[in-house]
Amino acid sequence: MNKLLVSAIAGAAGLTLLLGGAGTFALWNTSATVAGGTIVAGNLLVGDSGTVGSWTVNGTAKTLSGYKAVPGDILVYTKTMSITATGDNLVATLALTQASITGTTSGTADVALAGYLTKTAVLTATGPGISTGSAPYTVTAATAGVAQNVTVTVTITYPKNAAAGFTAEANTKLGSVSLDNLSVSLIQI
Amino acid sequence: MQAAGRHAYVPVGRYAGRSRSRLFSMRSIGVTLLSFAAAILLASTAAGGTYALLSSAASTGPVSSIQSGTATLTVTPLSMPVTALYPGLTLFSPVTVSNVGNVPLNVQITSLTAPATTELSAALTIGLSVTTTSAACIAGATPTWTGTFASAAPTNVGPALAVGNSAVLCVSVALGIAAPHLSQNQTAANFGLVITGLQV
Repeated sequence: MNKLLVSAIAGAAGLTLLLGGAGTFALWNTSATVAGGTIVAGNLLVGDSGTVGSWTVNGTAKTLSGYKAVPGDILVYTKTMSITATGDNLVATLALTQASITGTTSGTADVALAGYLTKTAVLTATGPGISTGSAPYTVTAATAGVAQNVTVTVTITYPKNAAAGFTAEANTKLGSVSLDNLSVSLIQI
Repeated sequence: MQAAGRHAYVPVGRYAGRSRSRLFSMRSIGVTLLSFAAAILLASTAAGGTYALLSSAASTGPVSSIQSGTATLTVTPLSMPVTALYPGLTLFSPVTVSNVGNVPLNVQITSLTAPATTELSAALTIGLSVTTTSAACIAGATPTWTGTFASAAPTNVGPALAVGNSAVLCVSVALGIAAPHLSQNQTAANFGLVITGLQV
């Protein structure tokens, strides 16, 4: 046999023996830890400010419980809500869902009163990060964020007809209604 | 390298003039793109979940119910003296009107309900006024409003009646001095006055 070939075989055999003798082997490698930062998510929240809503009737503060509204009365409900918006690139729309007036029961007077009263609901919001003008507002959190109280005002008018005995008005006597579905929303845009 | 004339590829139609390798390349690209699209679709649908922008909403909380009041007037029954009427005589009787509703009211004489028509009823004049006391009415009070069963114009009587307040209305029935002869020995029973309260 060729000497060179024999040498190669012997060398390979020897190397094999050496490799099989002990331990493991691997390609050179190294590792290092890359320190990452902390990721914090933003926030978008509407909540109760903790201040109880209040009523006025014709400009005078009133406790509505037990009060009997009559044609010509203007009832105003005021409530503050808190809004929070954090997020460097967070922009949201602040809006008020329109309230509905519904009869407490399906009784004639309740239904008549619900249909006769008129209402307007207004959301008023001012402060840093809040657009000017009227609702819906644009809330821009930016780096400072927005934490603000906003005011919801609902004005309910009991029309007074000049004609005595106006039927639609007369049918509202001793009725009862409730104000439903009034809520404030913040939606990211 | 293909031998010419053997299994030679000759593109025809829309592919005429194009090389085989070019055509198959475009085909491969198309297949690949479709595969990617399919894979993306599978990945997105298989991943599950939804995507939504941040949002928050809160109710302004429970709101008291609103109750409406009413306009209600009560009047005590009218009881005229049994004294027989004669031409020139006026009889008086007080009634008390009360505002038991929720709004101040103007008190209005709206109409008269006539008895059966007779010579007597046609000759009567009904009057109304506001007095401070029943005694003042009985003693005789000049009416501020008068009407007949044939003609009675609606008119406010006295000042507005506040909620919870009452007033004495003095009703007078007079037989005119010129009453016809045939009005003797007759009755005018069951007549009435319609009093209306109108919200101020």
